[in-house]
Amino acid sequence: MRLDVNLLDYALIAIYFATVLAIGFAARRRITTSLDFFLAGRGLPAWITGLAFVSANLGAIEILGMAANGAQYGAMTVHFYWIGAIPAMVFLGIVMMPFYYRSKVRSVPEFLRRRFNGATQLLNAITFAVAQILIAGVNLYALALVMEALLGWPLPVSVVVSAVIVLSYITLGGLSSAIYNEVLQFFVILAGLIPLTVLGLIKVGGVSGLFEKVRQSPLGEGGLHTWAGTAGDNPMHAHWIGIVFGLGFVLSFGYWTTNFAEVQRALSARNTNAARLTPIIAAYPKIFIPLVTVLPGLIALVLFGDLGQDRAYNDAIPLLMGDLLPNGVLGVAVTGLLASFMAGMAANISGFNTVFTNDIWQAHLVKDRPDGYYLRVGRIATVVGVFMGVGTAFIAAGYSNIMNYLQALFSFFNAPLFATFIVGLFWKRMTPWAGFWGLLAGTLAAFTSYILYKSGVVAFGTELNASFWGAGIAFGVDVLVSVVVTLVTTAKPDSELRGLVYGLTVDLEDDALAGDAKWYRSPVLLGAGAVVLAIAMYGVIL
Amino acid sequence: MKDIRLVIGGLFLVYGVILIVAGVFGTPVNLWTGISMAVVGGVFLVWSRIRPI
Repeated sequence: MRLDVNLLDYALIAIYFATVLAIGFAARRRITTSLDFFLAGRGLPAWITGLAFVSANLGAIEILGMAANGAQYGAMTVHFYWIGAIPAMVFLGIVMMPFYYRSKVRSVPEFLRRRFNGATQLLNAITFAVAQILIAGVNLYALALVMEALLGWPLPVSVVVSAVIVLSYITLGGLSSAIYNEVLQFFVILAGLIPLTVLGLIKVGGVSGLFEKVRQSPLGEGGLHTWAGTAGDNPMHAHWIGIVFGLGFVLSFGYWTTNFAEVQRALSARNTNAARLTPIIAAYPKIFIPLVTVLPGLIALVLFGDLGQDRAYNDAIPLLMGDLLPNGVLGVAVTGLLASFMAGMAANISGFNTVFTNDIWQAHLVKDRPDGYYLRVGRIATVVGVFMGVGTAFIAAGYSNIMNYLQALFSFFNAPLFATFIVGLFWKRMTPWAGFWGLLAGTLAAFTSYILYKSGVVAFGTELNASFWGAGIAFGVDVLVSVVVTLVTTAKPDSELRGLVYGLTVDLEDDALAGDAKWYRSPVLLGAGAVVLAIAMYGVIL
Repeated sequence: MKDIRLVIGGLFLVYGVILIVAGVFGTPVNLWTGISMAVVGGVFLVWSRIRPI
């Protein structure tokens, strides 16, 4: 599968990474406080944080994985976007963001300390920090695998080179340089994927040609429907109830509304309105991303007959790149892929350094030092985080199965966190210790249901179905334990909950800017538009 | 920090010109992608000129 890259392609790759490092150096001159480093000084406009929000999730694992799912499960893969992302992103912007942003917290765990107590903060901070390092390592390992297959670079070389690039631009410029690179990467990856999709479609005879050939493929008619087969047999073996509640509600709301690596992008926006618009602006490109991920997956399925047998589904995009792109555009596509791996890793590392410094070091270990001290801790945490990521990548190289399991496991760790959030936001009686015990019980329930599935004690059919149910169970256990513990412990007085729960408002000065009242800056209107558009898209392929 | 629109615009313009040259002497795919990237780059440069931060 080695790609035929030449000097032209390498020149394009080199230009990109020179630009990335230049952004890091330019951003460094603006960093004077820890707020600059961790939250880009809370000064970015909504379109930048919005694109960074969608881009932080558009890592290469996502791109390769969704193309692979497209080839394996067909059109049903769009559920991960239209029901599994859009409603939750809009909910985050309209309902939850005012609480996050106006309480002026720096992180999700810090919000948990304000709403509940230090123990809840520490529990969430440690789970999050460990998960980010492991996921960064998995990202790095996946990058090295792709580099080895496509360009013939030895695995350790790719791991070290990419770690050094990510390390330099985040240590230099903190979150602003991570965000600026995410925006840049977003456009470059599209510049690679769009020609790929167009050429692929031409080759299979347009949309009608593609549909005709998918019908004759192993996937068959079921690969061309999203909801039509979900009451009976379908390629994903998923029932519509599992899709709506498991994916559309628990998994997706858990991921999008509480995952700090995402929420951090919105917290860096310049005012409340921009923070609320961040996930909503991100929702619009998100609706159309399946056109350059799931669609190429289907194209690869009909172009390469042995996909899923002799060749892995994950190779769908790289195979298309080698088959369709000439030198030049090929360089752009490889750059986009490399950049998106690094953006994914940078999002993990910038989330890690913030939570480690703010919620573990400053909140529980070394308190009350001057701001410059924590800025330094943040930079050191970045270096240590990248080193641990490199270590994880080499462990992953030895035990790739363990890494797959861990990744699947973390994918539903957010479900209990979402339960704690939603109960805590709308029920002011919920007590500090209910926050802690609910979260702990829910996390353990997620863990247990996954172990039981893996050891074959309970059967869920497919891995996907297991994650839908695992998340649902974790959510239920969390709510149950939270309610029971609340009934036997003491609640916080209203005065400590102002601005943190629904119905107890706090008088903050209005931070609206001129123009925020215009219709095209209204979170409710734009959010409703995104949901309507997502529903309309289902109408195209039902 | 410099306006990100200048960075995106500049990079896309450079990529666009390189691909256009590669396309004129080679495959038409490079030409079309190059033209599109140069246009996108131009739009970002014009945008940051019209509405500076």
